[in-house]
Amino acid sequence: MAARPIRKLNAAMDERLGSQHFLKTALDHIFPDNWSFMLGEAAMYCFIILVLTGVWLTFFFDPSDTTVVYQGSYLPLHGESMNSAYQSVVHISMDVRAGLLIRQVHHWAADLFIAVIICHQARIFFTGAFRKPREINWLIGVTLLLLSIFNGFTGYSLPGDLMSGLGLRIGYSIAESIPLLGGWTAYLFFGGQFPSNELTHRLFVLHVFVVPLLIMGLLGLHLALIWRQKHTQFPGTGRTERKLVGSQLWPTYAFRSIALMCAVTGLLFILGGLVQINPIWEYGPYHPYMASSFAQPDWYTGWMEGSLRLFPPWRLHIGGWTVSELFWSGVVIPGGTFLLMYAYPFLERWWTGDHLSHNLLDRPRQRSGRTALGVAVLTAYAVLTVAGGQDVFGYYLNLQQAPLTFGLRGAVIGLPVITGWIAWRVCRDLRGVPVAPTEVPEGPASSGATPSPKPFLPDRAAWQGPHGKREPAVAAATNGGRTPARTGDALTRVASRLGRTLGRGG
Amino acid sequence: MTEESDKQRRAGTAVLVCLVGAAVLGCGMAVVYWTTGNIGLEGGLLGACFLLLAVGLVLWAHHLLPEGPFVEEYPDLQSPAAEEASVLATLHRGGVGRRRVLLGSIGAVAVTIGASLLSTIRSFGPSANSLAHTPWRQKRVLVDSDGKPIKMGDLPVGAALSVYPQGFIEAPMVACMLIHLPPHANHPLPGRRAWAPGDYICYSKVCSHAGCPVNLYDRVSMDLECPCHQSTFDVTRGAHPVFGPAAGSLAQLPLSVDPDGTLRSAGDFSEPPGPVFWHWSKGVAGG
Repeated sequence: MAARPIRKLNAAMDERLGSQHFLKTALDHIFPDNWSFMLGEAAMYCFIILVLTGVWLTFFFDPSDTTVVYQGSYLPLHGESMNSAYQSVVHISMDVRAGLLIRQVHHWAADLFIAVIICHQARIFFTGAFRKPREINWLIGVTLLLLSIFNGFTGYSLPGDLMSGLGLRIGYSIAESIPLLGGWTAYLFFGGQFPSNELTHRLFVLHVFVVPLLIMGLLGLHLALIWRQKHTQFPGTGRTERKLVGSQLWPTYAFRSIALMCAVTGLLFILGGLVQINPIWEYGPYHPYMASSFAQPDWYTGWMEGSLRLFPPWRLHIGGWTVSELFWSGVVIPGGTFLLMYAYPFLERWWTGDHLSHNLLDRPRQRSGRTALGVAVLTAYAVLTVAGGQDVFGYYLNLQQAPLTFGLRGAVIGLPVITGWIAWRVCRDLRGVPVAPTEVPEGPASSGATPSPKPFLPDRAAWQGPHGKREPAVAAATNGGRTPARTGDALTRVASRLGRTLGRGG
Repeated sequence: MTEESDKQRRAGTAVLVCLVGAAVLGCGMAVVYWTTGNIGLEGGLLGACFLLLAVGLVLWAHHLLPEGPFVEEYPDLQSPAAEEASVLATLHRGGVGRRRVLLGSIGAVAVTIGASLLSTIRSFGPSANSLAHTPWRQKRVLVDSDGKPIKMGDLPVGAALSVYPQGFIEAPMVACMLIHLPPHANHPLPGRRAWAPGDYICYSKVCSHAGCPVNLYDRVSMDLECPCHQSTFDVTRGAHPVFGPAAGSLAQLPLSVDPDGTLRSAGDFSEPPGPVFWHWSKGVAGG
């Protein structure tokens, strides 16, 4: 029996709120058991650490562009002119007790936050968890990624050191490159020509108030939808489209989740205490005429940096107007990336014609097309990220810039084709391997309410053909996957999709 | 039964050890904070404290708490058609949906309010909007970052130096690279023959690609390279881009020499310096 204070508090709440029914349902809520379902939670715990350390830092940070001459305790910067934002970050790092620890935990938490979000998103993608009825949560999730990257960038830009100034200068140029509205956009957002005296304060308001508030709201909505729709699960014994199998929220799942929170916190404090990150006092304050070799952004904007470095110099002059070469690499590629991410669930639905609701996840190998696409896309962005540090790699590998750039341009197009093809082959070879005693349809409810969807690609039965008893792995290897029937099948599907869509339009 | 209890008792002990260990490490962090303030120790101790706590909780969950399989029904998300119809009927209560003109007017009012509120973002911009002119226009003396004027002969052949208009060192878009080219190395663009007196040539340091300061000068190849994205410009041919993502040349600053040998600008840049934008050829940000 519960302890007396708990009993009294519960009774007092119930008298006022009638809370027992809700509490019982909540505590009994079931979550499926799989480590990969914890990734999103890990991201949420990173966010909590970010908020707590961020509030701590806000008490010491001075979001101002006023020019000051440093007279503080860090002697190598004595007599240098800088903005007071930079001065206050040097103060946090050098003079405030545990200040550097909290600052480094904050920075590591941001880097881990976005890394975990991307892993979470990859899990959702490869298992098809974004399908109906969960498309809304996919859209919210992509927005959360976008906001997180944006807030990471504003945070990186706040301290007024040389790196943040260069990053902002590039951001200004990208804003400026937007056709028609670019000049106004840059002027309005950055408060005039770069660098203006209002910039740090604006970034500060966005970084500590507007964007975190948006993230919090959307995160709440994200969780509420998971609560309402319940979590997806992998196929397995007793698991069906109707029946969710797992552990109860209280106590097992709650304990696991709190353990995860502690593990994330522990990891971040160890990193923050022992592994130096963003030593702004070594970079020095930003001056518009200064630059540094090997300037690197935080890892999660590396792909945009890579896009800027690899994109060919295409500048357009249309009448009296100019389209900057930066528009393609800095606006079209990042914008297109996010647009396609937003659109993906709907594109796939158009392609497969699958309008059914799904609670059971796909095994990535069962959807070789989607898996190959995902692997190819991840490869392309990995190459772009490498290209973002092209000069550093060139230096350490002793390579010239020109061949490196041309090689990376080739790799960003060629490598995804190769890795995608490998993923496709691996999926196909694995697909025939029986999966334990899983996918047992249970009861008439499941088969009646949700008939199995039209497969993304020919399903296992179709693949094995009439001789289903054949050793599947061998079948996959000998068949080669290029039989006319399959090719024809794919072409017919494209044709029929296009036909249907056009027909719908007309 | 007893055997399982033994196992559980052992697990309980392990959890207790973890929790006590975590508490000790947590105290250790407090002691370090109040004494040496070494952040490596602080982070390490606090991190280890949390990791141990995580281990304890995982052991607790794994050995002592009920592990399913528990089963729950997924909710039926789609409501019965009758309910949907009733909601739609409710929305039409009082004939709200029939009053098309009034609804349209509400929409129009909303758009008006939205547009007028949106137009207040103009306050965020500066009052002047010209990107075309820099202080160089007023024929200013070239100074180095300490404010010292530059004279002919200050730079040996092959050397390069960052220069600024006197009195405007920190102004936006003004930084330049002054280069003393070897004799006959320069191939000036048409109309720029007089811009490089005594083989002193001057280009904007703001990269035409993304605006980083182009400050790596290779005196052998006579190229300026941008450290951000490796765009490379041939300074002997109007700083024309020869490699990298930049499509345009660096803006050139015309120079003149005072009778005492002091270098000064002979006017503004050949074009708006830095990255291009939609109204670039007009040199105005907002058109």
